[in-house]
Amino acid sequence: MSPTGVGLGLRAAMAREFLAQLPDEVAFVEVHPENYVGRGGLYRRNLDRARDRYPVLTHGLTLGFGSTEPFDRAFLADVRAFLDSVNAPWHSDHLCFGGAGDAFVHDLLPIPFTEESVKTAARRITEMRDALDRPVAFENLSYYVPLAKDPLDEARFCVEVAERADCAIMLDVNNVFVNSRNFGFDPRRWIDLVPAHRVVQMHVAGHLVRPDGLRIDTHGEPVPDGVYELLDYTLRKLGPRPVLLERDNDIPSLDELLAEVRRLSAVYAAATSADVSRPEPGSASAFAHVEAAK
Amino acid sequence: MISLAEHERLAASVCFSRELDDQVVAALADGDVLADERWRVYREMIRSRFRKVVQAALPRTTSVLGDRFEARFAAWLDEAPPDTRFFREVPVGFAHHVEAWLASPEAADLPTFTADLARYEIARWGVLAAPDDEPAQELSFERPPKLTRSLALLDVTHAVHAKKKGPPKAGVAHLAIYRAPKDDAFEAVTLELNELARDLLRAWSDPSETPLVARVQAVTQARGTAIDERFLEGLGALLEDLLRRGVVLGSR
Repeated sequence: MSPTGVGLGLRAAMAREFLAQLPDEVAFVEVHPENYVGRGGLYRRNLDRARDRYPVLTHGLTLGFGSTEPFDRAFLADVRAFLDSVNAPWHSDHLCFGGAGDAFVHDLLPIPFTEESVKTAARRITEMRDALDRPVAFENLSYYVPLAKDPLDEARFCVEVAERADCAIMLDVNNVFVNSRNFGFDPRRWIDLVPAHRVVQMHVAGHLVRPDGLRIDTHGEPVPDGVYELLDYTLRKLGPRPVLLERDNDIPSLDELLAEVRRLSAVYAAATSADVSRPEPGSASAFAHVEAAK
Repeated sequence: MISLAEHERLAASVCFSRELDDQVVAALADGDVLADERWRVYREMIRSRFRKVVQAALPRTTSVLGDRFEARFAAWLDEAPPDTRFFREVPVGFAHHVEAWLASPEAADLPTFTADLARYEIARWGVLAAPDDEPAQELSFERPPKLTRSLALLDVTHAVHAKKKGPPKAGVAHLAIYRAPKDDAFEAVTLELNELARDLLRAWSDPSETPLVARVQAVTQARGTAIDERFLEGLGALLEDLLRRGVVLGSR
């Protein structure tokens, strides 16, 4: 079942405190299958405890849709078993690539906004959807290399991939914000191009501003005001979707994290209670899987 | 315009190559000055993450490598970049690379315990992430034994496992490392075994269907050890201890 409200990424550095409190402010948790497949010990125990209390959403790190390498079928089977075990309503990964040949960079590298990339991503998303037997969403990337003269081409590229693959979008609001500052565009224009019915989930996070002004999506800072504002705009525009606070580095005390969750929840409540007519998620044929999962 | 596959190959080269080739970056950036600069940012970010996880997994080994660590790190990424999608396994590749390199004349001046140290640290790192165990049946000598999946057996020639300060002393040791609960978490526990216990545990770790009794007999035969009262007492005590610790879980 798809959760609503604001969730938190379950991370080893905060799990102990988090699982001792099981705070009501948190509507769901999100985990990366790569951190659990083939692994026991503390990670597995933390997940089991979290699963007893919260819905679990899943978000991948290494099955980038822009990769030209074939999928590792054995790993896909492991991911499917993992998703089944946590009742994941959908699975998301990134519109990127993460290596070449057998080598993994363990980062999210951008792909050019070309027809070849669209075809590659659409094919892989379809293949993954079949292998996982559930809806698949891609996350828009934060990227640092200029890939187009018009930075809004990234949004058009994302929309084209979503249409071609008939898939969902895991909209990372912080990534749109970071890209807007790095490449100088209005992030709301980017959001305006996104078809509401394709968005199943959102991410927000903080990012690093380097001395040279370049913003890096570190997930290691508090969510800045600009991201709250863009989230508010996005929720008003697209309607309620589960919003995940990502914090992966320099993780603060649970109190601080929960204060951010509460602020995000206030934005969520205000933006989604507004009397605005919006398209419902799952109204397109692509989301037969989502409807069935609800 | 380059193909997507070429784009990916060049980007991986930018991230992993020992010396950054300006021509490769330029080809990837397609002549764009800002893109050229930003691909270098990716290189630094990615290498920084790898460096951090390697140092977290192998703190003592990287400390012994000292100012030679950076060169080894760069050589590893260039020659054998991480081929695992599991970030937790990335340091394993570096440990293997260092172990192989330590046999070369180039590393002759490093302490002789360095290879043992790398193997020991990476074994401890690995057991913490090993898969959980399935339930076992009650221990029976007539069935194959079931051991914890977190068990790592290691022979070392220096006491890298000793908690004493200072360089590890030379001396053969047989180690069994496994994961055990501690407070609200887990820890890697190291046991030092005598030769007989090492041989028994090795025999019991075999995934074959051979019953426990036959494995014990095979070890005693190979070692010329008599199965007398003293041996049986010792075997009973060993099994009791390993069952209590969760190293031996029971039977399959």
